[in-house]
Amino acid sequence: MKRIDVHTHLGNWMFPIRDFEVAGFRRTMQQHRIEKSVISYGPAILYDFREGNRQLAAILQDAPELWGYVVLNPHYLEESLAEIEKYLPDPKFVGFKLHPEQNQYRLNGLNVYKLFERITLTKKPVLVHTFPEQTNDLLGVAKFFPSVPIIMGHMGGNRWWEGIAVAAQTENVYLEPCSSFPEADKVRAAVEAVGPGRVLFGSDSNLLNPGFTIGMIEEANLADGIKEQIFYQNAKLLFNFPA
Amino acid sequence: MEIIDANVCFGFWPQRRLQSDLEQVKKLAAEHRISRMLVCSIRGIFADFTEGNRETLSACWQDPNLIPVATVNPLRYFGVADEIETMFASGVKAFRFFPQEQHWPYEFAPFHRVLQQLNAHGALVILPARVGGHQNYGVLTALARLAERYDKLKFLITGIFYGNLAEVLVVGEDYPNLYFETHLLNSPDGIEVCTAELGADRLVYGSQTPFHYIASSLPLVLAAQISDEAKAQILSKNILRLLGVAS
Repeated sequence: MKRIDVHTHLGNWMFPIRDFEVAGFRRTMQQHRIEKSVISYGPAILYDFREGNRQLAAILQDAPELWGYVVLNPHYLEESLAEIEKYLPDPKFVGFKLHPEQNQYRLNGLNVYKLFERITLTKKPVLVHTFPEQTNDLLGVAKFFPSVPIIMGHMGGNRWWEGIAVAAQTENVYLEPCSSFPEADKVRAAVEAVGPGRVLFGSDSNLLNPGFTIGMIEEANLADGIKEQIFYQNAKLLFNFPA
Repeated sequence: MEIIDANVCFGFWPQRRLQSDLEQVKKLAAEHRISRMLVCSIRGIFADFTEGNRETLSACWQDPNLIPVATVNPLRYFGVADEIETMFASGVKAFRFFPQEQHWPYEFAPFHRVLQQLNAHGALVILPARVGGHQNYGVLTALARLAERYDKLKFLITGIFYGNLAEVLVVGEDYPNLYFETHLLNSPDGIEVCTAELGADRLVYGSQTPFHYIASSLPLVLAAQISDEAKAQILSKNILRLLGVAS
């Protein structure tokens, strides 16, 4: 069963991982039958988002299986809006990424809403790191901007049941379960709450081993057709990837 | 290659809906070709550890593929020391503790009293690194202090993951009586890094069944770029050695 990984990174992290190179990332994709990966560049989240987006753009040009999120930082509203304009013509960038935990902001902030106003017009999805907490703030954004597809990255993390409950109150929040909280049943609970069309496979590679999340989905006692939706079809539709 | 799961509980889980009875646990293990398990009754975590330990022993007497893990709650004080001696007399070699669920810290005099008693026997002690939240740096350093102070004990630490991996490597290097269970070791090359830096003889496979997916943890060991002998150590040989059980 081929896969599209909607939550990945490139670049270095501050953890003892030996291989951060693009070649190693691609080998990992092949090992786990991942056809496409959508990437937010690690250094864009950790440090200067503009510099990181630029570095990712260079990598994406030569990599047909790699796609990108433009990382935005609401503390820098004008600069973030400029990043949206800069990368809109680039077909390799298929969405946006917000990381409120790392960049220390709340999703109910005015600048977040201003960014979503602009994102609405792009019709592209936003991957939002949603852990710890912030699921209710995400609900507010999702209700206010119902046409923006929002991927709830980590599905609420250690409070995944709250993440699922929030998604169930919307039509535009997608659940993505990767995390260091592999509680049994959470994937099945997600499918039961929002339907198989709004659960996505994301791995957090190159920070986490994709096999960790693949195992969660494989062991969720789901029909093969549903697993195929989660691993592949839902992302293909959401990002409008070519066949 | 035999697979032994060193991290399994069974019973009723009161904090969310979960099918966690012994039969379900055994069924899950069989689906993944896990032949033996170290098991601990959930009753002993939340309710009465004496009754829980009886439940554990009873299950293990009925099934030779189950290896008992006893627990006591240091908060109770009364009966703790006697229960530990009773467990040793019953042949139990591993003790597991649940500070997160029972809300006590590692730097806690009643727990140290327990460790003193266990130290005299040289038991295997199973403790979680995953206490106090996600970014809980410093817990392994605290566990290393326990390893230094109670040097006849062997400590098997659960809940090592990408976030605390640097701490694992340092304390593992410094304290040879620390061993690490792998169910949450989710960085891309976590098994390989630990094997290279500490040695495969320091890793023990566990799944955290029934709380976590076995399919999240077991394939990471099976697919790791390490030798077959190293996998055999992680999957079965190390835990048998720690327990002093013949393979």
